[in-house]
Formats: sequence, structure tokens, C-alpha cells
Amino acid sequence: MSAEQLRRLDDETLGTALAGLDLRWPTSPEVAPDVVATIRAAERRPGFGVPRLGQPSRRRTVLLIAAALLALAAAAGAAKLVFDLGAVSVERIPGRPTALPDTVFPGEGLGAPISRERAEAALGGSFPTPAELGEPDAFWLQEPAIEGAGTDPWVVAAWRASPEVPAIDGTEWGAVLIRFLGRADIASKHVAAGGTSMEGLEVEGRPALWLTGPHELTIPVDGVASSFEVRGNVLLVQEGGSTLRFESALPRERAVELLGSILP
Amino acid sequence: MTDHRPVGDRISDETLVARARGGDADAYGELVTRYRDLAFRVAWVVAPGGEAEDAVQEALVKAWFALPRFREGAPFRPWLCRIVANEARNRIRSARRRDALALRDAAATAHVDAPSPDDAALAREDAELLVAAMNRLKPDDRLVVAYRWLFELSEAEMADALDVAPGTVKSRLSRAMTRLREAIAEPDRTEVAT
Repeated sequence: MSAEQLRRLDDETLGTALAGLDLRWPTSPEVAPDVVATIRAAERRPGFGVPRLGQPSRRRTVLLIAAALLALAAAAGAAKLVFDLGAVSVERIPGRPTALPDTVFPGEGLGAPISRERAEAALGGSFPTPAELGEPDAFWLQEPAIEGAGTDPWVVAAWRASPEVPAIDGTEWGAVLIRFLGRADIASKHVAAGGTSMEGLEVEGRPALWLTGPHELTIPVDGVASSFEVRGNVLLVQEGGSTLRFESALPRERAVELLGSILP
Repeated sequence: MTDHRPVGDRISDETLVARARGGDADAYGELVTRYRDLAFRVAWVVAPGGEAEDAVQEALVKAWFALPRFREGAPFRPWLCRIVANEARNRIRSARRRDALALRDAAATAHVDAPSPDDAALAREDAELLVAAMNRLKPDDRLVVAYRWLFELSEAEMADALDVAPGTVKSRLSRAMTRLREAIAEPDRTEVAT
């Protein structure tokens, strides 16, 4: 049978031919012991809760309560509230800060970019990024070493501005994805009640937070708490034992779509 | 490949999933053992090469933590396929070693009905053409074709595994099969455009 004859077969016949192929599959390794050991090790990690059927997520409960409280706070117009999502806490303050930091995130200050391999080695696993954006233009790694910030690393992937991801105001970047490992507080945000909107939502079933408007991000860089001005729209999602932060100039629906694409 | 259907006294997937959702890691380990061949092959279809093993391990751990969102009563097999395929897809770019589907060395044939002995004699060549065409497909097309014809998923299972509406499966499969034919016809192309 020639190639031409083969391609003239109808779907069913061609499919049956495929089903009959005697393929040489690689031997699948016995992964169950490693997987179970990894799960048990994760269970033992402080602050790394294991999901349980029928028990509402504590974080999700916090999210719902916080969303309700935020509505009250907005009505009152002057309340202070701390919102905790995994490794990132968000503090809503009554008014706009008198001055935002000079440095716009990510911009300068994160050091020399590293390779994806190095980033993934630091994370101890893959660092999925939205396939639609292509390979990130830069990766950075930070390993917190300041008191109260935990010891888990955080990794940044960034894409330069393009038609797909327009530039975040004041930067050359179109999108910035950070993955924080662990749930110890690593980063904090100060959100002004009057100038920033804040909305609780879910992304692929995970608790999430959507922020728009300028705000302040404090994050340990080279062991020093550093503050940045954030001008993009930020989507925070808690996923398993890590927290994802996606910043861009994109609208909420598109940001949710892109970040949702890398969640299992 | 491991049979996913309950046999005799074998504990059903549903029971194991329920136990795992309750925090029983051993029950989950049993599910992993049951589906490791399938998981590994799905990863291999999406991203052939040395990354498949890492992708499977990572996906299996992620699936454990995603169990609370697993729809009760839904089949486990396609849900796991979806997670493994996603993880493998994320590793395509970072794969260091590229590999491909291949036939066994000995006695490999495509089981196409041969109208004559001459046609039957070409069976090995046909099989190689088909495998080469599969390898030239984009991973998503290859996965759709593999789900249907190599892993024998039902349409409902394919919809779950691909995370699409049931009505979309047929058109996806049809398009992928069309591209497979194009890949047979154009053996020099490395990938068939979508």
C-alpha cells in the first residue's frame, strides 16, 4: 500500500490501523512509592495543609469572609483590613499612601536573569507558564532570608511587551508571573481604599484575588525588604502549596484565562 | 496497559478515589499503580523524551492536591489524563532530549486489511508511515488521535480528558485525522500546521 493509498483510508479504517500498531512504548517506571512519599512529605511541611473531602477550605472561608468585610469596609470608607492569600498578604489602608515607591515592579532590582532550568531547580519542579505567551523573556530567583519571610524561594517569569501583552505602565514588560513556594508570608501589598479595586474570585476552583490600580508591593530582594510601586492589574491565586501572582495590563477575564491555563 | 475496569474483588476506582479524597495516600498509591502505564504513555505522546517521567510524577502529585475538586462519580481515568497531558505540555519547551513514537523492532505491522499478498507485504512500511505521520503531528492533535485509537477512550472520556464539550470531540478528532493524512502525504514536513 502506498502513502497515497494509506491517506485515502476513511477515518475508521485509518484509526483501526493505528490501533493495531505494535508500538515500542518506553517502560513506565514504578512511580507510586515516590508519589506517595512526596505527598506525605508535603503533609509534614508546616503550613502545608492537605485537602480533605467535605471540609471547606480555610483559605476559601477566609476569602469569603474577607470579601464580605471588604464590602463593609468600602461602605465605612476608612477601615483597615488584612487579607491573606497563601504567601501574599494584602492590607487595605484607609487612604492613598502619601508617596508610592520610586521603583516600578519588576524593573530594576531583581538582579541578573537566570535560566528556566535554574528557576525550576530552585522550585524543585516544573514552573508552568501560559503556553499562549510563549517562553518568558526572563526569569529571576529570590531566596528569602529575612526574619518572618520563611525560607522558600520565589521565582519570577516575565514577558516583554508585545501585541499579545501590552506594556504595564512605566515598564517594558507585558506580563510578570511570580510563583511563591510555601504559605509563609513572603510578600505584602498595601492597597489604598480609594484608588484601588479589590475583588475576591475563584480561578479553576482556587481562591483568588483581583486587584487593579496602583499599589505598593513589599517583597524581600536579596534578603532586604524592598518596596515597589505596582501599576499593572494583579491576579493572585493560591494553588496547592504555592501562590501565583500574575501582573499585566490585561483585563480580568484574559488574566484569569491565562493563569487558569497553567493550573492542573 | 492496565485495565481500569473493576475485576472480581478488585477495589473500584470510585472507592479508591473516595478514600484518597479522604486523605488516604495508600489508596491514591493504588490508583497511581493502576494508571501509571497510561499516564506515562499520555505524557510520552504529548512530549516524547526524558521529560515524560518527570511530567508524570509531577502530575500525579498535583492530581492528589486537586482531588477535592474532582467531580464525585466522574471517571478518574480521563481526569488523570487531562492533568498528565497538561503537565507534559508545559514541559515540551524545556525537554532536553526529543524522542518519538516508534514501532517495536520485530514483527511490527499495521493491521490494515490487506486485499492481496502484495499489500500485506507492505504492512511494515505502512506502519512506519503511520508512526512517522503521528510524530509529525502537533502534540495536541497527536493526543486526540492517541486518546481515541491508542488508548481507546470513549467519546465521553475524551471530552473529559480534553476538557471540551462532548459535541466537540468528533470535530476535534476529525480535524486531527485530516492532519494525520496530510502528514502521511508530506513526509518531509516536521509539523502539520493547525
